[in-house]
Amino acid sequence: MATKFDRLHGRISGRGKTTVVLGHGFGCDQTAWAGLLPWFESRFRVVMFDFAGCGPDGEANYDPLRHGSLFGHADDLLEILDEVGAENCIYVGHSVGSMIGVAASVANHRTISKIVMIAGSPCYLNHEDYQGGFEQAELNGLYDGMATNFQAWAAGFVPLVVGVPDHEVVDEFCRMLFQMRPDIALAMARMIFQSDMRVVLPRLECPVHLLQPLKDMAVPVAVANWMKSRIGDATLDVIPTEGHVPHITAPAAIIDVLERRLTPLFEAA
Amino acid sequence: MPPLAAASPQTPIPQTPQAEPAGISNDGLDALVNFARRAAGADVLLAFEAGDDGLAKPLSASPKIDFMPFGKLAPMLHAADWSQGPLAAEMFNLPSTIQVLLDRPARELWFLPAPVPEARFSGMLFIWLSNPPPVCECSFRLGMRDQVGMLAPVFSQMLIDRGTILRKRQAMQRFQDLFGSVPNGVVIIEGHGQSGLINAQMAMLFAMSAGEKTVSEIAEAMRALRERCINAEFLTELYRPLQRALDLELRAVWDLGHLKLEVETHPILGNGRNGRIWLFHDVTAQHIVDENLRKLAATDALTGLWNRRQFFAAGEALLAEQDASGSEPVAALMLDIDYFKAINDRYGHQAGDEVLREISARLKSMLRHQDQLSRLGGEEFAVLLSGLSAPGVVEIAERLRQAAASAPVSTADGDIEVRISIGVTQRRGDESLVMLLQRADKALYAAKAGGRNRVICDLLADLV
Repeated sequence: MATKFDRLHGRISGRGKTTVVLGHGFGCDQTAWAGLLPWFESRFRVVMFDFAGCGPDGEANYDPLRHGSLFGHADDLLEILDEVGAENCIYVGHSVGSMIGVAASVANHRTISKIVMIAGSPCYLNHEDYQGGFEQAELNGLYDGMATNFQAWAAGFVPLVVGVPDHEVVDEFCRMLFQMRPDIALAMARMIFQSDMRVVLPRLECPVHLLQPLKDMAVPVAVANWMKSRIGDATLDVIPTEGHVPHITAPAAIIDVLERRLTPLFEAA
Repeated sequence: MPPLAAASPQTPIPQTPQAEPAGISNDGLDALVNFARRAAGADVLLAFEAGDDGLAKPLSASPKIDFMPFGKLAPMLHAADWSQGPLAAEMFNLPSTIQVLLDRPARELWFLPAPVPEARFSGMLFIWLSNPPPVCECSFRLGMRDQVGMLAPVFSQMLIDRGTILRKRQAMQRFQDLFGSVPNGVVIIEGHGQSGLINAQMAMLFAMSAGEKTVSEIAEAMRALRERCINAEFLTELYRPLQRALDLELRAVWDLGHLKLEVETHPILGNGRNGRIWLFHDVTAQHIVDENLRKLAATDALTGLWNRRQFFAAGEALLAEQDASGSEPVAALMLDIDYFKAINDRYGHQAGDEVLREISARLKSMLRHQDQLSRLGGEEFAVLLSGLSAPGVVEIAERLRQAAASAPVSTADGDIEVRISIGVTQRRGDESLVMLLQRADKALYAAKAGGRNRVICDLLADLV
């Protein structure tokens, strides 16, 4: 039987002693990392893959029950880390990808030594003492839109997520998104937006670097501040970018932070 | 779904297709799982169901926590040897959903397999956490722990029962869907004869709500519907034996005038003791179609008169009626439009058709309803008259001839003068229809030969 790594289109590249594992966000696949890849490859051993349901033929790996929670994806990630021998790796995740890394790290403290979260959120819903950014009614509207006409919904949703008037990025995001089977995309969006990892987050034992765009329709800066206050060892860089996908729209701004936060690590290694 | 049910706010929308169908009580399972955990002295106990795909679906947990479905682990647990007691947790990769639930790392695991058909990797997973608080290792507790394994068959049986309930419910759901959506009215009388079910279609016919009814309610509704039928008496007689013969199968049309129902009833699975099913099928539309087809088959498309086939069928019946009643002999009139070929040649076939239609209408208007005017083919018509004496027959024949010639037929291609010739006969004794018509034909031939536009009679007695 093929390994989980193979089945999730796993790829290893780059040179370096330390392993960096890249976990993409919703609607994307591993190609979303293209802008950061040269920087990573010249410094680290880079492990990339597509989460179940994503990338070309992603539905082949997707099980609606198993992947009905972040933990199904976290188990996939733990299996991959095991398969590629990535002990003490740095995990860089975007959006939901970063929260899957959190779940995996809490489940198994040994595998991940550091997490970089780009525009991550433990909970998208507003609560009494927490501003996730969304009301349930808004999310229900989003699910309805996705269910009714996926293409039309995407035409409105993608420019909002990208957040900057960059047609190439919008087209690229659409290309990645439309690889997903619409029912899986809906199930996954629902799983993500309804998830609540706020009680899990404080149990992280590894250091976390938070990268939060200044203006992001999916994650308010308040969420990043909340996470910084709840995680034992966390740093936060609010980067001067707009949109939820800064690693695609503004890779230089991300690299700027990574240089500062990660360089000491691999130089020491 | 929050990882710790008690610790975080509820989200209103379920994220996963629910593994647990709503409505199945988990109380028994929860109690068993609670008891087993306490008896074993474990910190956490997770009960799950897992089939061939290895995906473990949560059933119950003690303490009560929500864990999500996970893969891989269940088959590994089944493969391990648990006969020597708990094994180190490091030997297994615990799924993240479980790990995240535990507030301390797992130290030891013990697994109680409960394989059931269709879910062979099911079982109960006992978890001991690291840094345990001191526990009293009295002989009673140890004795309890050693006996926990005995709960496996109970757990298995619970899973089987649960599966059976689920399947039954699914079957029932499927039945309900079918029962509600078939276009037929359906009544099911239960075997014990106390109650029955009627579906939505039937409920409309009965003007009551669908669902379970007492047998007397259903019988009353059915009797009321039957008594409104035009053929109520027939139906009452037909169904009378049902009171004694449980295994009878009957099919009949309930004729409500505007509505015709084909009603079939038979015992369930061929045995009246299983109950009885009534199927009501609306055949009104079918009846209308049949009726139309019958008309089409009997009439001439151009003129709307009877065709040759219907003429002979009805003619035979008329002769038989005359034989039975001994009334006046049936008279036969053969009619033919004079020089019809010339009309066609000169004015065209369309005009010819108009002439045929107009002459048909004129002839028909001169006849009584029961007189059987038919178009036998081409420009040839025939009439059978009953109950008339010879002078009456001749008078009618003459009226028909005059009616045809009364005025030109106006067509799109011009006004056309039309004349007809008529041969008249009366039936002799028990003469056959064919013979009667042959003689009428001869008389018609004579009318033609005599110069056309006239009536020639071959009657029983010479008219003065």
